Amino acid sequence: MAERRVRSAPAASVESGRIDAVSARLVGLRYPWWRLAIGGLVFAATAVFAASQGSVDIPFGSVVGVVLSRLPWFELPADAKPTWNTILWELRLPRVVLAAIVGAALAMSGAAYQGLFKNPLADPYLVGVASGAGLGATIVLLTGVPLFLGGFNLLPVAAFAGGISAVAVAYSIARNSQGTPLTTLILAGVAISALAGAVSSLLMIRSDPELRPVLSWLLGSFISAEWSESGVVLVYIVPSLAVILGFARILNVLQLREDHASMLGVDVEKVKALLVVAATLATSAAVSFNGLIGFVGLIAPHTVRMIWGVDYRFILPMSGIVGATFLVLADLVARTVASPAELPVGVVTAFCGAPFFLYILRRRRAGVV
Amino acid sequence: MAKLLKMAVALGAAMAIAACGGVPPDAPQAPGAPAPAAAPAQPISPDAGSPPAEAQPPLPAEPAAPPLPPEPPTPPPSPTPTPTGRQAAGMDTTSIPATFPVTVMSADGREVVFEEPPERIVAFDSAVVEILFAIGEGERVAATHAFVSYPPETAEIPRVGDAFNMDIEAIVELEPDLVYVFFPTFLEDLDRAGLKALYIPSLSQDFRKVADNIRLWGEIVGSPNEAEQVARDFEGRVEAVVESMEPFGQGLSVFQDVGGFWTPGRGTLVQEVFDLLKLENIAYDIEGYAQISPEVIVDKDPDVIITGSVEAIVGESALSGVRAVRNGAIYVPPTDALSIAGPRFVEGIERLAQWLYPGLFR
Amino acid sequence: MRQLADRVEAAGGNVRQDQDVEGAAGIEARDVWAGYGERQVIKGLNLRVERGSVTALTGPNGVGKSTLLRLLSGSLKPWRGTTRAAGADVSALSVRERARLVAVVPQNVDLPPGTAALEVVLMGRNPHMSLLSWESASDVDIAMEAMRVTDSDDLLDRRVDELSGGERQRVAIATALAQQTPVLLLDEPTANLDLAYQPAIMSLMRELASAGKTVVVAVHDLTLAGQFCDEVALMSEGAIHAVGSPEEALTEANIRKAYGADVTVLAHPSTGKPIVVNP
Repeated sequence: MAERRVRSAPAASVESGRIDAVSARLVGLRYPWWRLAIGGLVFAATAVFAASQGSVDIPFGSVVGVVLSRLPWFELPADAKPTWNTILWELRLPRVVLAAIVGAALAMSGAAYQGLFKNPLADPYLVGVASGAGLGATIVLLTGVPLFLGGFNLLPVAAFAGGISAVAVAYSIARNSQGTPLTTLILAGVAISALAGAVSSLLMIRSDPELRPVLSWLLGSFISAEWSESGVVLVYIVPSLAVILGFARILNVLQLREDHASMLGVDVEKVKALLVVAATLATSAAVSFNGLIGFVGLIAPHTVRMIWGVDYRFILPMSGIVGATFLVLADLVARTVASPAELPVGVVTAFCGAPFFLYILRRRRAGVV
Repeated sequence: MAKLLKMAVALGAAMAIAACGGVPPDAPQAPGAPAPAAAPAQPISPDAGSPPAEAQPPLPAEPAAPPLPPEPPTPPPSPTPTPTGRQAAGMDTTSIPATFPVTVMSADGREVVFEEPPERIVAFDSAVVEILFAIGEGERVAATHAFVSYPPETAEIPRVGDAFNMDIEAIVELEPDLVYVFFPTFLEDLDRAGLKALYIPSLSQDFRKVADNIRLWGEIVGSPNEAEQVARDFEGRVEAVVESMEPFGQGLSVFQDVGGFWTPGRGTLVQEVFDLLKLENIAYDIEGYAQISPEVIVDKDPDVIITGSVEAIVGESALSGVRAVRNGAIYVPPTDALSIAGPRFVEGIERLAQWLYPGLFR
Repeated sequence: MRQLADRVEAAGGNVRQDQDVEGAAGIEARDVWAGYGERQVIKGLNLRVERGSVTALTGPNGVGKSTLLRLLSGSLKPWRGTTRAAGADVSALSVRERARLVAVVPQNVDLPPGTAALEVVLMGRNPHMSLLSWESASDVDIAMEAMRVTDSDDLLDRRVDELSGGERQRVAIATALAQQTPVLLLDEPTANLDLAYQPAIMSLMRELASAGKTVVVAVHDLTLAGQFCDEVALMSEGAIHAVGSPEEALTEANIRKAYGADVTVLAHPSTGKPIVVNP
């Protein structure tokens, strides 16, 4: 015993250096704000670039001029066509903003699901949330259920009802007296996902022999993005994401076995329920207007995790930034690559996302990351 | 994803069903074009069909309309139909004898031989169902697919599938002596079930060939005279429109929305109709059907918009400055005639033409 | 010895034992009945553990040692009877209050891959932190001290998935120590340890007890239990069959009754503590 103490005492000064080394990932001690700041700048640059590109060519200078003309001190540039104002303010900017919000929401909910279910495959799609939310939204859109209640857009609420029902069913099926075995939960999620997806497709096919718009929705698209949609979506997403971020440190503790986490003072069942509700609400709101955009909730958090470690206090906000950037870029590709035609953004996220993700996986296996 | 892809493929087939969508609108001034004296396209509904006859939007007042174009050189009323001695049997203007056997090439390379007219036809295609009814042989249709809605008599006909599925069992049960399909997915299944199948892809180019299809079915079911009559009527009416439009140069620009900004571009039947009516499609750069970027609509500022839903267009705030919206030049086709490459297709053209150029077409 | 243990409690300058009622027993179970679903595991069990002592919980497999630990930690509610730790009824406490009173080192700890050892130990500070607060410098000091005490300080920046079973065990114990609770429960802490570390961990338990902690440790090895613990509680059929000093509890008769096995109990040549051998 005594020897141990002797040995450890002189080590103390060395240790502070090693704590620093840990703290690169040890967020509580020295949070890598600068990484978030750089991420934020990259996102901002991406967003500006995305706003400057489109199927209609507008010179970059005019883009800046037209955008700034909304501020009191700036005039509309002389060379600007009046349609540019509409294109930028009514079409492109709302799209970029909505894509960013949805990307951040899907990525952060994805990270939360992965943390909660301790399963790297858990994303809003796998646990049935997205399909459930999609079914909820489809029912409202295609049946006589009123869309507004006292001026309040109910679409996200319906999507949430569908999404949370899907999780609840999956959860109650998987639950037994010992806990919630993950494999069962995921299997139940997949089954419910398939069922909800099938019912949605059926409703859509029945309602519209002209199937193209249905396909767009299934693959996700921001083509009809409007400012008001961003507003509605934010009302649901901001509180949800705030809750998820607030529990980031607890999410770290939850990575322990549940009984262990509970011994460390985490009320596991309550926290899980709260976070599932929050993540589901965010996902549902994101899905309700724009259809099922896949892959963002899976690759953004994984990329962050593989490169920057395991602390949810960093994973969550960084996933949000990565998800927003990724989806803004994906939407840019969707609306320009086949110009003047558009692709569904879900196709782009899969096309760009899957190879990138495989590359990251490969690098990690090779020990590079 | 795989599921979606499969669906997309099936969609291709489904799309082929509905050859094309709507039609154009009433036109505000446009250089060098026949001045549209906007008049609400009246649903002169010859078809007892039930399509939503949407009310026309307010007419563009457009006082500045250029002088009306010369009163239309009245098209030669159709007594002498377009001559064209078509393929098939030698056609006497009066009577063509029904001759059997009739041999038809199926698109999958088989020869399908008819020793006698098929009595019970599963016609898996809107256009063919219409053709059979138009030549008075509708009672031969034993079954069809879920989206067929014209003529009204079809409401009674059993449905044996939709764009994705075909209920082979139900078809076998019906004991048809011909199953016609416009996409090849289920040919093998039909063969295996011992059914006589004929596959001819639906028209996606050259809508004038509708007349040929009419004659073909006339031969198959042994009513060549009726078919010839319907085919000539079709050709004559098309020709009349062509002649009316002849004096004019390219005119109004048009955007057609078939839902969610999906729009027909080059290589579609709709584009042919636009060409015929001297309309300039703002989606001409698109091949086939695709979703168009809304930016392009704002930028190209079409004179006329054709859509299934006025609200979908008017509700899009970004489009509020587009000329067609400002002028209320939004056309909602009163029937689905232009979506189906059958005998009514020409009626769709005529209605659109009337709406666009009321002074020109009766 | 005493000094070291004090440091664990004092590091960070703020010892939180407010719920610790003066004069109460460290741990007390009174007429406890419990089980899972229909299955009754604990049947009218009574146990009192003095504060500042180390008690070994032994008995054959499946007799309910782990269940009793869960009852004592408050994570399992008894059907009947009460369990108190440091004077408080644990089943009436919130999860968080419990975690400030009783720390548990579970059997076969699973630690999240990719995490550094120090990060895991810092999770032990969770019961003392509010939802939005982050680890302070004093939390790190406490965690570091806990690692030093468990001789795991040289692991601090190692990823836990790269550690050996014994190293992981020590990190888990450090995590429990970082909770700074008056009561510490350990479920088979020596199971994964090699010969040299078993006594080291057990003497650490002793050390902590002499600093005032109440320690209950479930162990299989009766000899180990006899060497290092103040008291040994021998369980049989869901109740305490015998309890007392090692010499009192670990008799050949008691062991035969609890385990149904014949053994020989010898006395350690220098300490006189019982050594249990087969047959």
